[in-house]
Amino acid sequence: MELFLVSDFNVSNFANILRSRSEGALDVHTAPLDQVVPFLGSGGHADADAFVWTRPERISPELRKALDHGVADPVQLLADTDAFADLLIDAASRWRTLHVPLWQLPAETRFGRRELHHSSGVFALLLRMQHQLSERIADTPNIRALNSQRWLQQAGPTAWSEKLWYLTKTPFSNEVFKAAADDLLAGSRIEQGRAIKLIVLDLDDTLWGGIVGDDGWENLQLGGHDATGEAFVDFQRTLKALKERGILLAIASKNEESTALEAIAKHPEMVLRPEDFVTHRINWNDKAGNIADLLQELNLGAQNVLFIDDNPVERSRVKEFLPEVLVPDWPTNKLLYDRTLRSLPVFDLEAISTEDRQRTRLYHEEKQREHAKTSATDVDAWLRSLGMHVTVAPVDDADFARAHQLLNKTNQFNLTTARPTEKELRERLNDPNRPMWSLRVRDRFGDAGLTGLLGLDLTHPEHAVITDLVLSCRVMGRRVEETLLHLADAQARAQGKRSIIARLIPTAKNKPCLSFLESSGWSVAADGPSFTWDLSTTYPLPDTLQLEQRDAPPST
Amino acid sequence: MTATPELLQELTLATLRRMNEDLPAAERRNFDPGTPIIGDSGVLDSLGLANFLVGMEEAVEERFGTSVSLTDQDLFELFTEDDITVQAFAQRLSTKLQA
Repeated sequence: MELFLVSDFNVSNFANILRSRSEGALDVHTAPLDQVVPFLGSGGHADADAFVWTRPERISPELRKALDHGVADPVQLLADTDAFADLLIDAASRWRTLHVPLWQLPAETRFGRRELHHSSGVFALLLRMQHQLSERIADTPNIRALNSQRWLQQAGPTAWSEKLWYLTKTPFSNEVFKAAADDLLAGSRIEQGRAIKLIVLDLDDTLWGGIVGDDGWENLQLGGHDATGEAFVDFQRTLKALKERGILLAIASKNEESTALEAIAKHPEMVLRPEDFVTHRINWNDKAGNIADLLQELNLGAQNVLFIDDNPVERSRVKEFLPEVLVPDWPTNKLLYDRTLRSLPVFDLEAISTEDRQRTRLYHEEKQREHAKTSATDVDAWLRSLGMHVTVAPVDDADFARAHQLLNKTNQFNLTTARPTEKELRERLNDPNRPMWSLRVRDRFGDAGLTGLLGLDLTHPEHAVITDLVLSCRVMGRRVEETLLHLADAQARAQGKRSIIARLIPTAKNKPCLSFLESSGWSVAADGPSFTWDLSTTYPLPDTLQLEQRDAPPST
Repeated sequence: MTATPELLQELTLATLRRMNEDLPAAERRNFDPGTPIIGDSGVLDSLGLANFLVGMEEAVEERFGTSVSLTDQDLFELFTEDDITVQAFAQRLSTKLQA
């Protein structure tokens, strides 16, 4: 990904840190120093991001006046802010995404007792600028405001560097730039389909204080009038909140299963209960092997997993065996657990969908399906026993957040692994020659929600091209794949096309999509993973499910 | 603790190596006592030099509990050689600190 740093101060150190921390994933450029307005006003790069980091006193000379203990005109200050917002909104149409850190003033600067006075205090004026800017850019989806306050807090008292400022016009120490880089890269991690979807937790001295097998669940350090006990409760509360946002929780613990589960079910101060965990491996086996087993059960990739354990030996073992799993260093001080979890920049979800909030329930339902599968004599009989119902509708505003998320997160069954921005997807959905449909799947065990997408390009007179063929791993292997191809057949046929083409862009992870297409009955091109269906024959709808087509998505 | 040339050389190398961590892999360098860091053959550019001097001021204060000012003077008044190596830098800094 290309990234342009646009600033009114020297960002060379920031550029180096971004290059270093992204390990080559970011191609970082720096715009000419202090040329923010001409640079953003004169052009852009539709495939690149810009990081626009400015000082507020450069945006409004009125704030400069206030900093110099003069009298600022609040009306002009807001007009200057509006002009900057206009510049950003106009530039956003020419860039993929604009990242805009909120403004800061040196925290130790003192401006007397009136510094927060509504119409004349420096900090009050800055707050008004921030508010005005946030409000103005809120409706431009590809402008992302970033919380720079957190970066300064992380850097501590050395966040501002007068020495670097006077020597190089760099206001911040590298600690601030590292925190900013981590925030930006966390967003990039999510766009690359590497968002954390599962947290695997140890139990003893991780979820509670003490060893349940030795101490008994009644004597665990959890809640009560005890500093450490309270800290564990807060840590569990944060985990529960993440679960509500769609992050799955699982347990990997060396314990007697029945003893540990009894503690989770019975301890009166447990915030997390058995139903909050999607699955567990509580035994005396190798923890890394247990996690690999969990991933297989949940059909998740290691890159989507966070592992939390107080034991450095276990952390080291998991890092070595599953290098893609995120294993943060964990503090020895239990009072710091909650803050450590909250500070991890890996949960930056763009939008929380209904499916996210219900994800743990959905996995529990899937377990019931798998149980039914073991008692069915063949796969089709099992599928029929599920009573599957697929609803197809054009993607519209109600579907937008989930469709965007599905396109950006799905790796395994994804024809091209294109990762559109919200802006690109909205443009795409407004193009009548490139329609897109959503698939919702439900069965007798529950509703999996919006789990499939089909996009077509109908511009060629003879053939339709499949631009998007995406299916959540939640419903893979249930012949929804064939349903997607049947839908493509029906839509292309309705437009008078003679054939449909699906060109797969291979990645390290979309082999399931390739394998399906290879066995789908579509003819394979000799020179690459391109598949064609001749519309002289109808691609059949699987007889294991019911298909319902709507003009608009069902209300949820 | 006395800021001997040996200790300051160790501190200088540690500061340079810490700076390396903030650079892209292709721009990282190997430093040893003979590496010229300042001057015509010096490996630090102007930004690198500023980062280095600020880093050294902080490192000296942290290690020896004494403040030294390297950023508010012309370095070539302090160091007379054209090219200043790590070893020469540590030697002169030790002299300055003990003066």
